[in-house]
Amino acid sequence: MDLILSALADALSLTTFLSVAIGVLIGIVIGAIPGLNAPMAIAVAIPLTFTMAPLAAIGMLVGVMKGGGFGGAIGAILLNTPGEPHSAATTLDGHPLAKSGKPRKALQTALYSSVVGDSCSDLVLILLAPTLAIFALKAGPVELAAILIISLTLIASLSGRSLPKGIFAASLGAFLATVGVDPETASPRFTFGFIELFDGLPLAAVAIGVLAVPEIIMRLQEGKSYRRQKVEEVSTKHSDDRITFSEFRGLKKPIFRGAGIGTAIGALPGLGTTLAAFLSYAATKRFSKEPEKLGSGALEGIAATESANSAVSGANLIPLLTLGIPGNLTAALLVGAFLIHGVTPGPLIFERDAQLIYGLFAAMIMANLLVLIIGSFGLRVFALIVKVPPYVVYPIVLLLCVVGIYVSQGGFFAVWLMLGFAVLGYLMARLEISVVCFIIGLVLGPMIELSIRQSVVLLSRNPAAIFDHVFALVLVAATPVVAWILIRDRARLSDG
Amino acid sequence: MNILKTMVAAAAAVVMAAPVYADYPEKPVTLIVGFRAGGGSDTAARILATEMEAALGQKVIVENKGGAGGAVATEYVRHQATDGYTIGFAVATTFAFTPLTGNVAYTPQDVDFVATTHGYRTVYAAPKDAPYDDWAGMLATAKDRGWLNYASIIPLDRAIIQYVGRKEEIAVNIVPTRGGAGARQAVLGGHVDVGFSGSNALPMHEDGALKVVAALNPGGIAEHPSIPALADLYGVAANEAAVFFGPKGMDPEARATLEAALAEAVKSEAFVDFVNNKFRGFETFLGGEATAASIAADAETYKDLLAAIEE
Amino acid sequence: MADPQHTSHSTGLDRPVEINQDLFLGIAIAALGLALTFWIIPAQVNDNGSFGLPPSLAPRALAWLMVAMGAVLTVQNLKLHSTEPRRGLQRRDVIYLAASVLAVSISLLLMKWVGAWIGRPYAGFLVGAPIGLTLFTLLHTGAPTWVYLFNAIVAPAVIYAGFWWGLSLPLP
Repeated sequence: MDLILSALADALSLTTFLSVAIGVLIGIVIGAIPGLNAPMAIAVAIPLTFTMAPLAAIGMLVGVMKGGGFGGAIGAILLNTPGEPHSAATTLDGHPLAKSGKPRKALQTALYSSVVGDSCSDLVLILLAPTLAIFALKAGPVELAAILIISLTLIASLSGRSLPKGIFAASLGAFLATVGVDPETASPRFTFGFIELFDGLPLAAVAIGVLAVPEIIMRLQEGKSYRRQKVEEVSTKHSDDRITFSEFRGLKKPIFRGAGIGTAIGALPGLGTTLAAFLSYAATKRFSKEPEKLGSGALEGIAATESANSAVSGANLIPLLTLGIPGNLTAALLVGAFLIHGVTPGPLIFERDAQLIYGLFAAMIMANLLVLIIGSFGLRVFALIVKVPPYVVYPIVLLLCVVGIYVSQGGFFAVWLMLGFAVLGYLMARLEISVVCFIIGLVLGPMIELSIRQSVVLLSRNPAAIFDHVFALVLVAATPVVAWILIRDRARLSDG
Repeated sequence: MNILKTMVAAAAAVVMAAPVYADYPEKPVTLIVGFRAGGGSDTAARILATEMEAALGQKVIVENKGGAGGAVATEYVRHQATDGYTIGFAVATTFAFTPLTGNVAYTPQDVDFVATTHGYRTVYAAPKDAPYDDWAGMLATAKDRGWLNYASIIPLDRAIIQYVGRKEEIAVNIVPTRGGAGARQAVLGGHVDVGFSGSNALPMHEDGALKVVAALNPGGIAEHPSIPALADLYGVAANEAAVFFGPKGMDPEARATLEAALAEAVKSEAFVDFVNNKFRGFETFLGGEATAASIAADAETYKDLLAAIEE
Repeated sequence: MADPQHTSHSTGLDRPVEINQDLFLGIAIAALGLALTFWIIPAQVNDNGSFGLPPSLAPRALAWLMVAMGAVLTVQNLKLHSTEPRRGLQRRDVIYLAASVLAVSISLLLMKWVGAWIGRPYAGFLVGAPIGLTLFTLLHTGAPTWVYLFNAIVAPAVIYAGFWWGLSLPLP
């Protein structure tokens, strides 16, 4: 108890408070800049923490992570330029709402859902971390393969108007994700002699290329027509550009569902934020009273994805702290930071570094509150972006995408790739091929391939061992049933 | 156009004004780190860069060009100007092993080495509830059952376990994983019998979360003498170390200045503490020529290793 | 579900009867799948040394899935002409896309060449970014003159300050 109190005292010291606040601010700003994203914000912040005390340093990075999560939603909602694959889920409803003249309402929904989702998963982390981590470890390649396959089936309901086009987009994404050195044979696949491709296509370049740049090109292409229409909208005062308390209370189902999905997926290493965001969105669409409204600016859609996204980031620290296994790119960067500050993740971390860890927990809760406060203030400022004429915003945003990819991926190669994928994304958008399905294929495809191939190797000499994986077998058996239900309800779920 | 060039250069010089007191370096030096920002290798490079700034009296700009285990940075650096203002940071196997896979266009002769600054320790780790506690026990269990499930990360660790499998006549099921996290997950969850790991398995071994059964680096693990080194058992090892290098034909004066700066930098308190207590590697320093010789020797052993498992 | 990219695209000139683009798209997708299966995959994937499932299995399966989806799409749109109002890709879209790609390419090449020529960090950026931004603003058409000045001078200066002093990240 003394330990916890002194940890609290550490966390509440001015230095820690200021570092967390600065971290949150850096995260929100860098996350909000199109072309940059949360992992980029962490990478930038790590050298700043070299000389800081461990708690202040780690608190700051956790602040960056949480701030970056919300910051990513800002670019996605206001400009439809997501910086990470999972933010593509936020754009689905966030951008239509912002475009209809309610940018603040969209941002508020994102902020509050994000903070609630984050707090829930932090609570789980604080109360259950060691137990949950051990339990999550039981999921091996066979279980992960089964979870991924059934998740993909659930997400398939997001395939858009045309099922064949959606499946094509997902296969193309999964196909492109096979580029790189094969993990099993170490021989390159589809690298065409470029060693820059050995580690696969850089995800940030592909995501920003396919999601953000085509949007910028299309906005530029609209030229004057877009501006005239928009000025009118903004000049009419929208008295309801603010979320009311009762509206927010009505969102508790999607928010808590998202928090649950996000926490579960974050605790299972190797699945990641994108899966959580889309799974939560698909589930909300499935259980919504008005599924046809999702995709045209429904608060439910924003709440579902943002709470799930943020819940992943808290829960990600479960495998990170207790097992040293990062769950996503952001968490992987934190491993390095822990290393610098002499924090060694492991099951005994709660005994070895108790004071630091409890201080970290306090800092996380503090960071959540700070995201809420700084975010509430910031969103008023950011919401003004929609009033800036598009001929100022979009050229600058385009340059930021170029610069951001150059910096985060280390060179021109990735920028050229981004440009190439921008062409693909533009053509897909014009031909009404779901870019969302492409991204889902790109992110989930390689996970499914690897876990299946791992399972095959593990079972190759002892095929009977498959019966030890009852959970996986049940999921695989349930998949066709789920698929059938989804196809049956397709008419109801497809957008009107 | 020349006026423009001067203007831009002058503007840049004003922005990054620094004391100029030697012939080299008279402008910032760019250090291309062959790994993604945020990891252990990147951190070491950044600490060394900060220390080098003091010795060189110039800014050292760290730029990350991660990919293919340092090969992307190597390809980039070897095509840069040889004036010593662009140098690279990668690991010994980037030069000693990667070219043997036939996937890259360079050889160790295509770069000039500046220095080796610290060593990496790598191990084989087994789950904590495995029915064995050491290497011999693991082999006995595997022989009994007929096979060994192994989580692999890079081609070199795979080659070594295949070699061991041949020597011990054990069939090795190699489970491919992506990066250290996947292998760690497979080991901790007990999904494999043993897996490859970096030195970050050592604290977990001390916590009792897993069992380190063997070391792959030639010197073994000094603080745990009971863990055997594969070099002693089979004569094979993964000799991994951090290497600074520049393009072939690099200005010898610049190379010497950089080597001297690094020789100073590795003695700094911050770096020594990082290597020993945080990174859990080992201290070692080799100059440019010694690094080249060590890499050439490694390449020969790896060639023999690959030939042995091809048979 | 609405695609995030496809929002309020102006429908352009409406003509009564249009060529059904999805028919050709279906054929193109199927052709892509076949090209991958018979040409790219054999040339770019080496199955030697595999001990579980071969590396080419997933790409092959996905390529066949593309062939199948292309075929379904073709069959679904077998009528040559569509009576729907004009949607999808038009010639002016392609021209606009090409212009945009050209603008970004010019700015990138400038950054690369000037950066290599001067050999100091940010030299390429300081030349390439203003020219790039001018071109991007030109793409929008109809921007007032002050915007060109603002975009070409103030914006690169702010980005420069933010990246170099704020984040100390190197640009070309």
